[in-house]
Amino acid sequence: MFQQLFTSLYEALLGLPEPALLTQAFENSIFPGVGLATLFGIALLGALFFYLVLNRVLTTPFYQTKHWLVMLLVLAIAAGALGWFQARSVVYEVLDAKGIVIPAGSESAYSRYVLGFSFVNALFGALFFVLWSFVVKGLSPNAKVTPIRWPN
Amino acid sequence: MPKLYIFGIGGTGSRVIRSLTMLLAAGATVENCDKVVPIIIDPDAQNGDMTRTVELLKTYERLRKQLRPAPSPGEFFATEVQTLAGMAASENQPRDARVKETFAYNFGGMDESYRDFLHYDDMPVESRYLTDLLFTPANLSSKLTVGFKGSPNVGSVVLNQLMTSPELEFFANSFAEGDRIFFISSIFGGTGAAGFPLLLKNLRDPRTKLPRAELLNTAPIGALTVLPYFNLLADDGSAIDSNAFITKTKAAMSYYQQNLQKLNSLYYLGDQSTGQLANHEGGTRQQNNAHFIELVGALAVLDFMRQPADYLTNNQPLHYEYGLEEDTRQVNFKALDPGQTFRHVARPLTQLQLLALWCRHHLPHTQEAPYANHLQLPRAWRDEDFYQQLQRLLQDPQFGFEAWLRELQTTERAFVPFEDPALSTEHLNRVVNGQPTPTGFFNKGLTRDYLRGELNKALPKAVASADGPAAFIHAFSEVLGKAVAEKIPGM
Repeated sequence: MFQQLFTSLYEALLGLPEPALLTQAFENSIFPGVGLATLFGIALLGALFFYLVLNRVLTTPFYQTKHWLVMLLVLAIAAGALGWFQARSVVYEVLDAKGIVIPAGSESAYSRYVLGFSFVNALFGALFFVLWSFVVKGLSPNAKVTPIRWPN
Repeated sequence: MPKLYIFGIGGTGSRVIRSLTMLLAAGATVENCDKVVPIIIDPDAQNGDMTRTVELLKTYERLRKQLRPAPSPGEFFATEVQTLAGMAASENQPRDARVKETFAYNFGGMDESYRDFLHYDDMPVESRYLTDLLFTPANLSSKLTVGFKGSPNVGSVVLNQLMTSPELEFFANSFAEGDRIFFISSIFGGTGAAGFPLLLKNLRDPRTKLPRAELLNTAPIGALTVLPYFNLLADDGSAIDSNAFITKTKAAMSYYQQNLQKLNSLYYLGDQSTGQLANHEGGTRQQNNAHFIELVGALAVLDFMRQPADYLTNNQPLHYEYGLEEDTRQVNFKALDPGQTFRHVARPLTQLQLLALWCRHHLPHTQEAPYANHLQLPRAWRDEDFYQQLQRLLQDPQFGFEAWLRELQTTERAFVPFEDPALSTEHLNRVVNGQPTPTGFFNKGLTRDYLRGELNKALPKAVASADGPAAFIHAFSEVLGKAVAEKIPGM
């Protein structure tokens, strides 16, 4: 289920993986793995940290929208970095397994899609954080109206 | 609903009522009554002390009217304060158009001389001789515009017009079983020294023509008479000479000893003074800084109201004096007796000071917090009348709470319970003088974040049962009360 979901999400923005020999690696391994890690590991944990740790267990000055936006930016960068490094790692593993050596000067053909994937993952990281924020913020007495009051 | 009618007579009356209003704003409890009706009596319509107190009372009244439901005992602004006319209106009594909706008795602008007031030139010659015996030429030529200039012999004649005034008749008609009366005056001035015994005598007179005489004759009546507590600079151009204060005090007290009948409780207050204030006979320039004695005077009112009615009736006359725990010229909370004054003054005033500090230094920085969002504070603070009145009561440079505290620090017997407010812009660990909040590695004390967190928890419950202003008062009373009890040592 997650595999199909994430594959649809990423390919909706990126198109099919390039080169085509990496399609299976992306659809079976990279998309679901990075997608799940971004959704739960980065976005959800980030939301829980902001709303419950910083603004429920502790009472810190970091409850305002500007702090939430900083958190959003940091998580987006983290999601992008996760996408980049994870995708590169799996791609090179697959190429090694198939005994394919990338000719000199042709790295960009393999890196272009990975780079696009990392940007898209950064966007999804931010989007997932926003969605989790609306789910979790009601539990935070000090930040329940960050970034906006609705639905509290 | 039992009421307390407070007659604040003269400049001292106005100043003590000012201090009392601050205590009421802070949540000090007036027992055995639901409503306080101040009536200020001062023929000097431009008197600086009076106009300042009237503005404060009007602000308090406007603010208090917007709190629905009403605050609980012990919360800020718990006590209702109303004008005589407004009180009758709220109890569905018939209005009298002659009685204005104001806290100050209307003398109708007396700008004639005392001589003209007496119709001296129309008197038979024998009456003129008697008048010349009783009053000096200076008394007779004196204009009544700024009051009686420390001459109670003049005041005792002029103030007789009170007894046939529509205001006093209206007051008597409004008087009910269970109501009480308290007089506040100085013994060394002109208006207070004359007005207090005159009013008392008439209210206790079984043959008085005032309505409900039987109730007035037996109602609990208390009085605060303030002995000299300041001196004035010598000024040949002024009719007031503070060197005569003690002489006048002795004369008045010997009169009281013989003639003050049927008073249930009498409170005496005074202080020795070596400093000198500017000598202004009256008008807008008679505006002395608030004095610690006036705050203690306000406590006399609260003490009177704490006594059960039958105790007052069965033990009259009761006489009270006041003493500090420590005779110091820089009075803080530790110098107050722990049994009474400290209990009634320290916690409420500290809570009000925290509210003032929060509104000035911390509220602007927490307007995105949930508690502020619940109250729509950024907009409400700017636009809604309740918050405008609250800001006036706390911050007005003439009559506000912050100004009152500053003035109390400037007098000879300075009242300095709080540290410099500049120390409280980042946190609130140094609010009470000599009682800082302890902090440690894991404990930051009374910080902005701590109070913000508590307000965030308190506001949703408050808003569920009250509209904005009442929720604000309820939540802040609860949170600041808890903060004072838990975070400030010795409270």
